[in-house]
Amino acid sequence: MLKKIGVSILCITLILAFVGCSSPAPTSTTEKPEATEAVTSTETTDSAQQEPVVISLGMHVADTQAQEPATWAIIKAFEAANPNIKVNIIGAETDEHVKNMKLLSQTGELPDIFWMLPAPAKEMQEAGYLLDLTEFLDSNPVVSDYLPQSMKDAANADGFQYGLPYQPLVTGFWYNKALFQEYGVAEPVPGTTFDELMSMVAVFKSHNVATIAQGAKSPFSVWAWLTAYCRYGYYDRIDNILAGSDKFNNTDFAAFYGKIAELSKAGAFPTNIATIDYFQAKDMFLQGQSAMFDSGHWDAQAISEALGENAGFWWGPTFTDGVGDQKVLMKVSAAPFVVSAKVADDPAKTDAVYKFLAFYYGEEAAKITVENSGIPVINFLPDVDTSSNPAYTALLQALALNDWKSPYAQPDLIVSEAVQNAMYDSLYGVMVGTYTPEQALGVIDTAIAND
Amino acid sequence: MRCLSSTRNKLIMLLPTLAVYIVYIIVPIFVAIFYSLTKYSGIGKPKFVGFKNYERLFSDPNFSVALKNTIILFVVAFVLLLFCSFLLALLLDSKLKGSTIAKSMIFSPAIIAPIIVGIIWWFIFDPQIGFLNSLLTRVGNESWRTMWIGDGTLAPYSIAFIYFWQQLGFITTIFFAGLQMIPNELFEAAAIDGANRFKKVIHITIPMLKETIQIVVILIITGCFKVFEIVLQLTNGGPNHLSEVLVTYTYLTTFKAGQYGYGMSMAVVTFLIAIMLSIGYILIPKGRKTAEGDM
Repeated sequence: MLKKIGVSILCITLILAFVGCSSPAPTSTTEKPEATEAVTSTETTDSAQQEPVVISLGMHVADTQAQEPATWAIIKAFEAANPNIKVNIIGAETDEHVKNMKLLSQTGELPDIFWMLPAPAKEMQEAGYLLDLTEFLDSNPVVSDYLPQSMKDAANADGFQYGLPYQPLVTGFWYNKALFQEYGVAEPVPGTTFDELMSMVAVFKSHNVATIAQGAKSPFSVWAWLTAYCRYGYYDRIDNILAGSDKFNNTDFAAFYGKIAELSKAGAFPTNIATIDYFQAKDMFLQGQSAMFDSGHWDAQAISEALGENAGFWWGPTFTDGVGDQKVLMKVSAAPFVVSAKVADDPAKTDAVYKFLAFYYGEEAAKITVENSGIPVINFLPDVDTSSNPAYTALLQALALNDWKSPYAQPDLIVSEAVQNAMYDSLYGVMVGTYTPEQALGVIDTAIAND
Repeated sequence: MRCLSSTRNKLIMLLPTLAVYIVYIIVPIFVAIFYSLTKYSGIGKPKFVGFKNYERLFSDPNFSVALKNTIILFVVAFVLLLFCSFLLALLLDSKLKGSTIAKSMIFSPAIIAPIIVGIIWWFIFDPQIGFLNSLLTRVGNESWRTMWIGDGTLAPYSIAFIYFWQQLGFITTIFFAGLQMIPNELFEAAAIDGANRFKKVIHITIPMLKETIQIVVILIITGCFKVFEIVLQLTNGGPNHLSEVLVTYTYLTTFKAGQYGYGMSMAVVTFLIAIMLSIGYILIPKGRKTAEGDM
């Protein structure tokens, strides 16, 4: 009898310990949520206005304060202006963040607001995980007017506004004026051709200086080359390519990739391009070991600190055989901020989220963005002295070209993740020398066929 | 404690661990098999496509490269680890001066996080700024400078060497523990019969370590098929997938390209290869023993 009691007590203790370690199962969201009812910021109760509300914000960087200082500053300013609202930031490196958001969408635990890549954001909208922000825009006409229509359209599907632009994406080549002066090379200007770039490469190579710092271990770091795609008629062909009636492996794109292969053979890229990543390529540029760096507006502050007045910005070479418009710059909507559909279930939370978005797309946030070397997402450029940030000033000067136009989206952001990865793979494949131009383009065609 | 020795009570005591094992190890295998038969981006509902993902594996050149690299990694690491760790364990067992400190130093790479191991060896193997090529230049062997990583030729061997370096101490420790279990009388008796050191190793040590060798082989097999962080940090599977191994290519396909179904088909294939190797290694000697017994 005693032994039975002893065994039973032992078993019960083990089972209780096991159960005690578990947490309540999250609410399943296997069914599509009901269509969200119109909720405006005026429908909150008095008690909701007084009780602190916490909204969660999922960011695509592990350390928002260090890596996205403008967004961090905006969040802090918002919290200071709204003491009853706290923003809880959940950050992870981009790939990890996207994976986490997909997992959380399955368990119904998405953050209230989160950054998301365009392709999976659209899939989330189709699966019913996102809130329609049309009502937010209708109830905040000032915000709606400030936002460029093209940026709103980038996250709109048949009238469902599933996201709003996180920030503009401004990308190209930063360059070090000091190195150009040291080796007697003319600085690149809007309209500098590919042949002129090759001449620069020859000079820099003879002095063992990498012309363009690139890191193939970060496959996504090919921004300037994605802009160059536009100069070969990308947007005239991509719809047919995705529909199956055209291919990436065509004479125009092959000519484009042939140019990259020429640069690679001429030694334009670092000799260890295959083994360094984006951050190491950035260090190479900041330390004066390369003349140019493929990057974007987010590096303006770091480049100002390292190079000072020697920082310049360039949209990349034009091509005499390019069939597209050569006067292309890149200022497009980056990946959007999206809002979880579950926010609509809580009026206080909806109010807090709407207040955050209204603040984020307002003039004060635009001023904070410029002060932190960012480009405001809204059509409003505050009067901020940028003379202490020479790189940022150079970027703004480059953006001021009236006859240069931006496409509506960066080429990789309108295709699926698989095709996007294939595009990065193909570009670096040619730079590293793994693929011929035709092989590289074939990689993308294969990805489209398998998509 | 006779109350705990009955079969029923043993089963009851095993139940919690068994439940955890089933939920976190066994069930995910079946979940992966399910998703491998679907087209799924991680969002919404999966779409059943049958064996299309498996058919695609045969025509995917990157998968072939990943499989080839994993086999290279396995063969090189297996040979190096098995023999070097055994010899090292014999050396440590001979109670030379400083063997205690040597044991700690040999084991230390095993406690370094794999991602840090990748970073350390990047600084050694990078063809441009790495220590190895710089050293070769300094000692006048500039012709020996090569792409230790950065292309598909030597990268798999470099990864195998790093894995060997990281695991050597751990496997040596297992062999060393096995050596301590061998009764000394056997060696004394062999010495009386005139056996030299080599004969003692062949006729006493190795047969007595049969079970330990079996465990070590299984550990090496499963470990080689799980190499991930080293590749991720050293080369990220590049350039252009030339240094991918099965796990890294599965990760890339599943989480970066958003092709969960296709990625799971790779995971299932990886699992099957590892399990066939492990079970084959265990069953073949048993089959041989049975055949010898029948004779």
